[in-house]
Amino acid sequence: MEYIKAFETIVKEQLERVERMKTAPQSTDYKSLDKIIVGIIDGDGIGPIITQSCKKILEHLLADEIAAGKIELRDIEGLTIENRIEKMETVPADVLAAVKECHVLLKGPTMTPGKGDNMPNLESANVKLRKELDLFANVRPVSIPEKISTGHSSEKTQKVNMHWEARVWTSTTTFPWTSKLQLPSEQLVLQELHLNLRKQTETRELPS
Amino acid sequence: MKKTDGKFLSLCYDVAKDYPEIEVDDYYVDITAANLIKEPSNSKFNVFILPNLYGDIITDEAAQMQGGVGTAGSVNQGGRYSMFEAIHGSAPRMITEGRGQYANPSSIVRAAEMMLRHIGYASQADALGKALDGALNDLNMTSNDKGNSTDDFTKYVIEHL
Repeated sequence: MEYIKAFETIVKEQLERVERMKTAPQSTDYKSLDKIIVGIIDGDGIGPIITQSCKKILEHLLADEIAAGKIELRDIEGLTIENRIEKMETVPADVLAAVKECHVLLKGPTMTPGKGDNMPNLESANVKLRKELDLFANVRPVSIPEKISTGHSSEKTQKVNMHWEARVWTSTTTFPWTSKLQLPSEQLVLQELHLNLRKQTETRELPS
Repeated sequence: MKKTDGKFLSLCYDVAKDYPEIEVDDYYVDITAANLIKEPSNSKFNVFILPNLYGDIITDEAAQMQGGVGTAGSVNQGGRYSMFEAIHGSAPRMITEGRGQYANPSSIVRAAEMMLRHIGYASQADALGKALDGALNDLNMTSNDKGNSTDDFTKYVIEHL
């Protein structure tokens, strides 16, 4: 009967999360902020190397905004596999508190111990952050050289200097798959998608 | 599958009703994987909406077509917060083999470009995107001493902003 209890707990947690999401702010209006705080999380392995490279680039690109106090690039320390194992927390409480003081986050890869890694079993930091921050969709844009028909029978398609772009929207909700619980977060994904499509066409020229 | 994926699908069509200017169609995930690499008809797709597991698989396939999973950025989007990140792993082997200084930051820089666009800095995002395209074109990031280093990459992008 223990597993039924465990299942009940999960369902209860998810229902509570759904209620929270209904009342959560829909989206941050960055224009109205005096200062946008960008949290920089190094992560594990090559994470600190690539993340700090990116930070250096942003410091150059946003030099004026940073000097004017409109943007802050804030390092958030402690989301490393060593610290997470030492505290036996997927995202240590002090790290999570620091994360929640930011508006957006730029994050390097974090390690999730697998079966053969000889480490304690910790949940994925990403999954934990997605739940804690109610990040309901994962979006990955890709841009691929387009092949178009040239009309020649010998060479039906030819690579041209044109790209087609696709954005893949993925729900971050993996559990539970019951229609009742699934509803709000999936709806948010779709609504946000359409908001974003509109925003994109306003701020950026689409490939012709 | 009809119950769970079917619910997702019916929600998509519900929301789509409000946007008649957007053409919506649906496919099973297996034929989606095939259609994605079917040229040239794949270029008619602009947006894919997928539940979690399918999304994990299809995004890796799409990123590979673009030049590898290391070349795509990603955002975990919410209401109050958004988290931008590299889509690849922490590559611990590169560190133990002493190749850390050759790590390729393309994926996280692409994520930073998305972040700038998201917070309303579109022109800076365009500049960063162009510099990154240049780096991918002109540098040879092999992840070892046969190619360019992370520092080469950082320097190149800063010089081309």
